[in-house]
Amino acid sequence: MTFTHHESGTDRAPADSPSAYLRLRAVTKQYPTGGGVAGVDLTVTKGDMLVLLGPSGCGKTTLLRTLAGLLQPDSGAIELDGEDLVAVPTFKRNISMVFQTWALFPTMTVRDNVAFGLKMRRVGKQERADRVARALELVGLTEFAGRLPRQLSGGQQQRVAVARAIVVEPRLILMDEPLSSLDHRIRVQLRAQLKELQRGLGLTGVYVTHDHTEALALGDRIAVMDSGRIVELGRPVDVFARPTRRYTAEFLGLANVVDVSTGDGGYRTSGGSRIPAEVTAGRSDVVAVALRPDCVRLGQTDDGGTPGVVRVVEYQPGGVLHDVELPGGTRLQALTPVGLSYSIDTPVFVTPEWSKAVPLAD
Amino acid sequence: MRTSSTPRERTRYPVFAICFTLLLLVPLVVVVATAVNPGAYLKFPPDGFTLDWFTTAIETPRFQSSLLLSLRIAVIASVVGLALTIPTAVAITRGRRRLRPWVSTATVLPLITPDMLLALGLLIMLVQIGMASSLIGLVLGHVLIGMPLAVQVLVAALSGVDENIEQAAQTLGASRATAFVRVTLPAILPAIGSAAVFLFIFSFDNVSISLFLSAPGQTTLPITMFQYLEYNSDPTVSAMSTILIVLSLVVAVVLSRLGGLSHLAGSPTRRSS
Repeated sequence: MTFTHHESGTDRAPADSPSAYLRLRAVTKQYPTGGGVAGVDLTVTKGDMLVLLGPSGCGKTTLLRTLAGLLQPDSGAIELDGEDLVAVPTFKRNISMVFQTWALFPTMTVRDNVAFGLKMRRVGKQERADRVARALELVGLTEFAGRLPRQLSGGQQQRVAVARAIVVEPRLILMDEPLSSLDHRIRVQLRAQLKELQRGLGLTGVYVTHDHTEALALGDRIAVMDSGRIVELGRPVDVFARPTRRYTAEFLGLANVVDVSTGDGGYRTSGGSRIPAEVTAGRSDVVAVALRPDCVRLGQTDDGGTPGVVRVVEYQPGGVLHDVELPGGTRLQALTPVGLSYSIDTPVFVTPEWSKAVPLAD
Repeated sequence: MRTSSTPRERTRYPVFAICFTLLLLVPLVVVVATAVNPGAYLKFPPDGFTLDWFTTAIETPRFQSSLLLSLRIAVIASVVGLALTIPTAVAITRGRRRLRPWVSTATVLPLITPDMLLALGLLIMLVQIGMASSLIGLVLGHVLIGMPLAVQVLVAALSGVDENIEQAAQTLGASRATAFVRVTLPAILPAIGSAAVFLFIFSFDNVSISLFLSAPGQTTLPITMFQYLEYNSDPTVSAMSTILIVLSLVVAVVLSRLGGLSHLAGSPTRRSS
């Protein structure tokens, strides 16, 4: 994977810079039954897409609905372009939302669906028709303008929802897992279109998903959420390659997460392997390390590695993923090139390259 | 070679359904047949054929005024009923989950209570507040009778509507009220149509409530027909009934066009959010 288009992100505004377009301060919304969000601080720079990533129930949709005004926060402040939003009702916010169910108006044609927001804003008939036509062209649905939503495929309906959201030129566009009910192939296709559209129009957006490939593809920044809090925030490349929290590494599931404990003169794994000092770099809050499967070497000759047995083999686009059982029952994943894989139940020697490990705090 | 299974399956008639339908239709057939009997008595099968009794029925002043009254009450009951049942249905589908089953049960109560009890209760209540023998009382009683079905139809339709569409409308600049009127109401319009038809029918052919709550000189059509039959046995009533049957058939067709009856069978699956 390459992240070339994120290279410019290093000089991106820090969390509390004055250039923040959308700013959340200590936003809290709790439900009596549990769940919700607690004390969320966030900023989004104009033109950026922020992805809220987390498992279901982590509060990401609650946060999104609070931004839309569909939920009232218990406390905290939401500012958009310097204006306090909390007291502004949904319909006056000029914030569009694309729903997981797309929520197209079933009795209206595609054209009327897209025109709805403009009608509500009392945009004149001629201008309305022009803007609707342009929006439909952007999403490639011009020839479907006269159809009803139920006469469209899922992907087409999703594009109508997007057209409907962008035609009003919103100050902010919110997306609540808009691709989650589509087939994989269409999802990947629409994901790319969505990114292009958002960049082309310079839209600022907040995108909610539980799918980390979607987060990688769409986000300028990613906020990983757990139980109503943001546990990690950063550029996709950082969050994915160098997560700082154990929760993040485990949720992304891209690397082995190995518990470590402080012993004499440094951190050691439960198996006794020593973590090089330069990895932890003097930190004292490390509870685990993440080690990507391609940093774990497998061999059949005893070259000083830990003996183990291959239990699961999975073919992946980047190679073959082995689930190796080590003495004591712990498992470690190792990725090998396609030609160098081992079959199930093969005894192997495992050599983790601990120098490439990433330290994780709790 | 073509398989013979397809044509054979097409020739299988739903015998049970046909028998049952015929059974349901027998009383209607009898009524219609007696209406064309030339003699001034009810006879099945009829001795001949005449349409005179239809003229008589339409020209009888008692029937005329009762029909007009019945139609008027039924229309008012439909309008009042909708004004009550639409908010009720919204409250049931969008309200607090814990209260839903209770409200739902409460609205079905009039359906399972004997009409006589309802009528008696209403009569006592209306007498006490000095509204007995008024058209308002009669309308209220009729609304009460039609409400359970109307609410169920609307609830089924509303639960089939994605709740997000109203919120989507709000994010696009519609106030809550506008969102409901512009987006949700059109989505349940067929169900509103069938609810109105149910309210109309339940009012139009109600006997028990009308019996208790009608003011003197304000008898609805079913009661007038009943009273007429007590002293006469000529086919005028049959002719009147035939007219009503034809009207009902028209309504039934409209109802099935609106998909009203399927609303009762259960709500369509809703996408989870």
